[in-house]
This record gives sequence, structure tokens and C-alpha cells, in this order.
Amino acid sequence: MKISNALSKLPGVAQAAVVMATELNRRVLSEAGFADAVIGQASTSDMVVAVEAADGASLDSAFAEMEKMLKPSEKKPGEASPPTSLDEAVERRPDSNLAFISVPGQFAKREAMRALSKGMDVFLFSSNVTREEEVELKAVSKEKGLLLMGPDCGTSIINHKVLGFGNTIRAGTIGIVSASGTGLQEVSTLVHKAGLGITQAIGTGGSDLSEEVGGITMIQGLDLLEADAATKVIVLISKPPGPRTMQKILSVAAGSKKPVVVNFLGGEVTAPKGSGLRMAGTLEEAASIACELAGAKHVSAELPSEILSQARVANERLSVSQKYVRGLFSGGTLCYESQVILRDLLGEVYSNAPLNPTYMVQGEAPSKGHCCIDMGSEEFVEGRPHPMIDFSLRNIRVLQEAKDAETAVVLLDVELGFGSNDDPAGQLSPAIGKAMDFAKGAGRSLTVVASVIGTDGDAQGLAKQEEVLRKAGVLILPSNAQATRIAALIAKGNAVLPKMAGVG
Amino acid sequence: MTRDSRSDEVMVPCGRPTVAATSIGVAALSRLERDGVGTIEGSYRDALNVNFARGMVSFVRDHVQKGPINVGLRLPPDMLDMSSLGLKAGGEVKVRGGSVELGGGLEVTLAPAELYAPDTHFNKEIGSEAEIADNLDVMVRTAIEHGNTTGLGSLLALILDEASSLNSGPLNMFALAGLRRLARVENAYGRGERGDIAGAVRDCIGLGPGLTPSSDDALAGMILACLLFEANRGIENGPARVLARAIEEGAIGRTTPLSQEYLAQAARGRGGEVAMALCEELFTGAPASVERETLRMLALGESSGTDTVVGIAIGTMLSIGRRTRLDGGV
Repeated sequence: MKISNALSKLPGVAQAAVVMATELNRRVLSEAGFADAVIGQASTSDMVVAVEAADGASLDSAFAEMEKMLKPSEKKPGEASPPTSLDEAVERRPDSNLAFISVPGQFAKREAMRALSKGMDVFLFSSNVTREEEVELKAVSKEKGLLLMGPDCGTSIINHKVLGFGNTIRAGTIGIVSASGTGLQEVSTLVHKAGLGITQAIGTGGSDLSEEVGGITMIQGLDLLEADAATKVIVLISKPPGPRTMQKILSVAAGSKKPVVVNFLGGEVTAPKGSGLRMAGTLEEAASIACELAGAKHVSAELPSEILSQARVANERLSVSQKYVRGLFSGGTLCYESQVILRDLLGEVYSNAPLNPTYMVQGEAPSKGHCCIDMGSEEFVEGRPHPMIDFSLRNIRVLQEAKDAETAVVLLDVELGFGSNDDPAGQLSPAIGKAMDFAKGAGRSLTVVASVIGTDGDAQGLAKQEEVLRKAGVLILPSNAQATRIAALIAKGNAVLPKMAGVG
Repeated sequence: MTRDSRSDEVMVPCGRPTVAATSIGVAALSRLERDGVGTIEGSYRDALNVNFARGMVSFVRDHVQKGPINVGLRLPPDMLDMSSLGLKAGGEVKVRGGSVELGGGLEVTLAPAELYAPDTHFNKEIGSEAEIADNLDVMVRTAIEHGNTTGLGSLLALILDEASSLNSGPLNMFALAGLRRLARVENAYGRGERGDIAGAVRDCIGLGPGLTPSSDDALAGMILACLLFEANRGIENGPARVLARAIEEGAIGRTTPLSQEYLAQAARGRGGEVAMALCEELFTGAPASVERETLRMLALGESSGTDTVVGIAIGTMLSIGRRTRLDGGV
């Protein structure tokens, strides 16, 4: 069948059929004009390749292609053929104890159950797994004392090996459990930038802290880090959990003998009295508190004064029409964090994943007001690579925002590390350059602000990436929270300063 | 190599790798129970088909679905695929003491294998006609969206009884030829005349691309759906039995040996695990699981999966007393 498909597409080939020479097929071929004595003599076990071509040369090409496709595959000497099933893989490597599963969501439960039944922990990258299936899977994993990271888990760092997306982080004493992939990346890279490191970073999947799932994996992660002698400080990260789940998590965390930092982004969360839990409002604050608890000197979250000056100047240069921050994110959690910060500083923010459903916009629709778009959401990634890998949609959007006279500043996140594009800065800077030129030509001054989530241990190189973006005129901040505050300052000017953290 | 001191007979080389079969179909088990010799019918990338005295056995890599004539096995890492065994049609395969010697290349021990013996009775009660019709709609639409139309897949848009905007693409020469033939089988089934059914089936076998021609896959799907429906509704001696016999007999000499074998198994209500799972969800499950199992089915072969769905759809329509629009499409 593959052969007939391939041959039919060749230039000069009108039709091609590759069939077994059954009586009925021979008759149909004859009716289609392929009457031939050779076909007449073929038996049901013989294969017939019938090609109708415009000329002899096209026919010869078709048969040459057919010969190529029929040639048996060759294995290089010494090369083992890849296993074709989990069972086969485990048979060859009986010490395997982790299954990384990335299949379409409908089939993920089956594969994850298989892995759990073999006593393996699971990293479940697949999304579109139903809540019921997740509950069922985590009931099994919990009973077996196994970790199910996921579903929809994009990031973990286990024994310093990155699973999915993630960065090269030095070894240290801070352990992270996170229901957010980019949240994990932001905190772990900030820890690294502060000179410290991590023990483990356990992803739980985006809906682990829903009421139905009840934080099963987060609690297991907490218990594991509690028992891990190398871990001295624990950080928990999530968007606001369901209320019952939140109470459960806080109660378990409060029982820890180690200091625990909790960042439930944007949630109105108070630590239980006497619990010793440290609550953080942003990912940056979570990293900062964790580092101090791990013995670092005070980690400053102060906005660099030079950048503050540049932001004030940028604000003064805005034309009357330019009023709004336009955030274009590849990380959903960073989009969320920025909305939380901007809402406090500027008022309500529109988004395709809004804090307030009243301010919902479709992702592909033009931006409205202050706007933060999660370009890693389903509407953008169905049938396409993730925006951490493919920048084409984001580049188009950067230019669209530049053409909008109401855009004062464009805010970006740029992720480095495993799974990300080889050269994000190189992908973005031409589009940023065009955008700025367009705005200038229209008599406007456009500022682009970004944070680069990565380390110099990442293949892309943090310093090099930041340098490329600076050369393109981008204001670079060390964290998404700081980048967001600067964006607010550019859009609104000194009016935001009284409300702004990090301003000395 | 070792030499037996009691005789000059050279003993069998002891360097042949041995693998354990992971699964064995119920028909394959009965064919390999006794020592004997089989003849290789065909050697393919993922399968080796061997004719034994009691029928064909297909030795397949274990990622291929379980089936009644399949023996699943895992190749040693240094073998890329089944063709690496270097075996050709006409070669011999020996069964001895519960092991199968695949030429000089590999020995397969059968004892540890998990038995695949599909049950015609579902775990849950069969749904109402309306529920089955809803699931059928999901299955057909999923197959139109994701299936392969190089066989009979373009007939899918003519399956559901209500006129709709469904479009599964233009009919290729096999779908055109298959359209009136399948319509004839459907009409004959509706009339219930044994002679008509047998004639219509004979005229439908062996059509289309594939080692298992498209129309055979469709007939296999059709008879599975009909038999499983009747078995679970407690219908004895229903029209499905007549169709089953017509298919088993009609296939002899009219199609490839492998397809003949599959049709014979389907006529006994024994399908591969994917087809059985799809039929079970179609008759007892929820739309989401029907969609999932349909996608698994569509992933089989090139157009085999889609062609089987065509047949399951027709068989289901017949079973719930509805008519397709195949006749009007002639």
C-alpha cells in the first residue's frame, strides 16, 4: 500500500496499484486497462504492481522507486535494533525503573498502567488524559509506592537528568515539587543563578492539585524530599489549588521537619499559624526565600537601577496612543505570573488563559488592553511544535503588536535548555528588529522586555543568548517577575512605583 | 557442535538463540501442539507465515496485535526484523517438544506464552439500538477523518443511513468495484437467502490492495460485528451464521492464504485483539472509548484497519436493522 501511494505521487504516473493477484483483482485490473498475459498467469500469492504512466521514462522511474522500497532494511554491524514495545525494552534492560511516556492522550492511560504494573515510576508527558483516568492512574501509583509525574508533565529533573524540557542545574540542597513546568524551570534556574543548586525537581502534571486528584503526586514528592538526606529546603509550586487540596498540601507541608517554601501563584494563601511555612507571591520570591534558607546571602530582587532608568526613558518616549503591555509567552505559568503582577500594578489583564474569565480573549484574536497570551496553549500547538521549539507564530505576533498603535511594550519569556530551540535569541531577534523598525517608522517608540530562563550550562548558553537579544535592543531582566514589573513601569510610568516590589 | 559418543550422528548446533513466545493465539496453539514440519508461506518485516498440517501460524513481533493464529515473540537485539532470519517461502519450520525451530536462525519456546482466546461474550451488557447507532456514528466519523482511503475507506460516507455532509473522498477503482459488491452482500443478507448470500460473498472476495485484500478485511469486520451482536443478544441460528459459512467457504482459493485464514477465524467469531476491542466498545461502551479503539484499529496495516472498520460498520447496521446507502451509491 505504501508503495502504491508513493508511486501514484510520482510525476508522470496516472495511477498505480499494488495488489495480490486474486481472481477479482485481476479482473478489476483488466477492466482498468491493465490486461496482460503475465497478470493472467499470476496466482493469489503473487503480488502485481500495475503502473499507468505518461511515458517510458516515468514508468522506469516508478519501477526504480518500487525496487528501492522493496529492498530489505539493513542494519549496521554491531547496531542493536530498537525495542518495539515496553516489554521488550524492559527485557533488555531489566534494571529500568522509569518509563517516559509520550503518546496521544487517548492511549496514555493504557501505557502508563503497563509501566506501573512493571513497578516503574512514570513520567507522563502526554496531555489530553481525562481527569478520571488521572485519578485512576494515581490511585494505582500511590498504592504501589510509585511516582506518576503527570499527565501533561513537561518537566522534571531526577538525579540531575532532565526529563522533557529543562535546564542544566548544579547539584545542591533545594528540592522542588511543581505542578508547573515553566515554574519549575524559572525557580531552578534562579537558584542556579544565585550560586546554589537542587537535589531533585519533581513535576506533578498540571492538574495534580485539582480537587479530584487531590495532590497525590505533590504529596508523594514532598514525602520523598523529606526522606532525602541531601535535601535541606523544599519548594512547592503550583497555580492556586482547589481549596480542599490546598488545605491538605499545607497540612502535610507543615508537618515537614525541613523548611518548606510554598508558591501558589496568585492565590490568597496564608500559612497555617505556627506552621513555619514560608509563602511566596512569585516564582522569583520562592527561589529567593529558598536560597536564603539554604544558606545563601540575601538574594536581591531589586530591579537594576540602569534598567529602571531605561524604563523611565522608554515611558517618556511613548506616543499618546501607546498605553498597553502585550505579553507573548511560551510558558503558561509565566503568563499567569505576569498577569498576577500586572493586575496589581495596572488593573485587569486580558488573556486566553485569564485570571478573571470576564477578560478572556481568543488566542489568535488581536490583543485588547493589557494582554498576556499563552502561546503554548492548545489552540496554538495543535498539530504544531511547541513555541519553545518553533518561534514562527510568536514572531508573527511580535510584528502584529508592533503594528498596533496602542502597544507600549512587548513582554517575552525565552526558555533555554533541553527540548528548546537551539537558538531562541537568533530566532527572535530578526522579528524584534523588524517590529522596532516598524514602530519607529510609524513615529512610535517600542520597547521589548524579556527574561531568559536558562543557565550557562545549557547548550544554548545563557550569556550568549542574552547578548544576542541585547544587541537587538531588548531589555533583559533576570526573572519573569522583574521583566513584568519593568514592562508595567514602561507602560504606566512612575505611577506604578509605589506598588512595585524591587524598587529601592 | 558435539558428537554423540554412542553414534556417529552429529548433534544439533547448540548456538541457536532461543526466545520465549510472549503470546499464542488459540488456533495457533492447536496447530503447534504436536511435533511436525511446516512450510514457510511468506516472510515479511514483522511476520513469518508458516503452513502446518492443521493450518497457518503467523510468527509476529510482539508489538503486532494478538490474534488467533499469531505467535508473538521478541527478536534478539542483533536482529532488525523478521526478515533478518533469512527465511524464504518454501523453507521448513520444525516443531519439536514445545519449541519451534525457525530455520537455522532462531528457536522459539512456546510454554511461557500468554494464551489469546477471544471471547465472543462481552463483559458488559450490549446497549440499545439507539446507543449502538450513536457509537457507530462516532466510529464512522473518526474513520473518515483519520482513516486510509486507498482501499475501501472512501465508502465510509455511504454507510450511515441519514444523508449527511460526510465526504470520505472520491472512489478509487477498488472502491468502485467494491461498492456494488458490498451492496449486494447487504441486500442478500437482508433477504436471508442462503444461495444469494453465498453468491454475493463469492463475488466480493479478494478485491483491493494489501496482503489481506480490502474486501476481505471488510468481510471479516462485517461477520465479526454480526456474530458478536448475535452472541450477546442471545440470538441462536441467526443470519450471521449463514454469512459466516458463506465467507469461510467462499474464501477458499479466491484470496491469499493469509486472508483466507483470517476470514475463517472471523467466521468463528475470532478476531485480532484490536477488532474485538472495537466491537466490544461499539456495542457496550461510551463514545470516547469507541473513538479511542477506532483510532487503534485505523493504525493497523496501511488500509487494513480502515477497511475492517468499513465492514464492522456495515455489519453493525445490518445487526440493528438499518440499511446503509451503498445501494443508492451504485
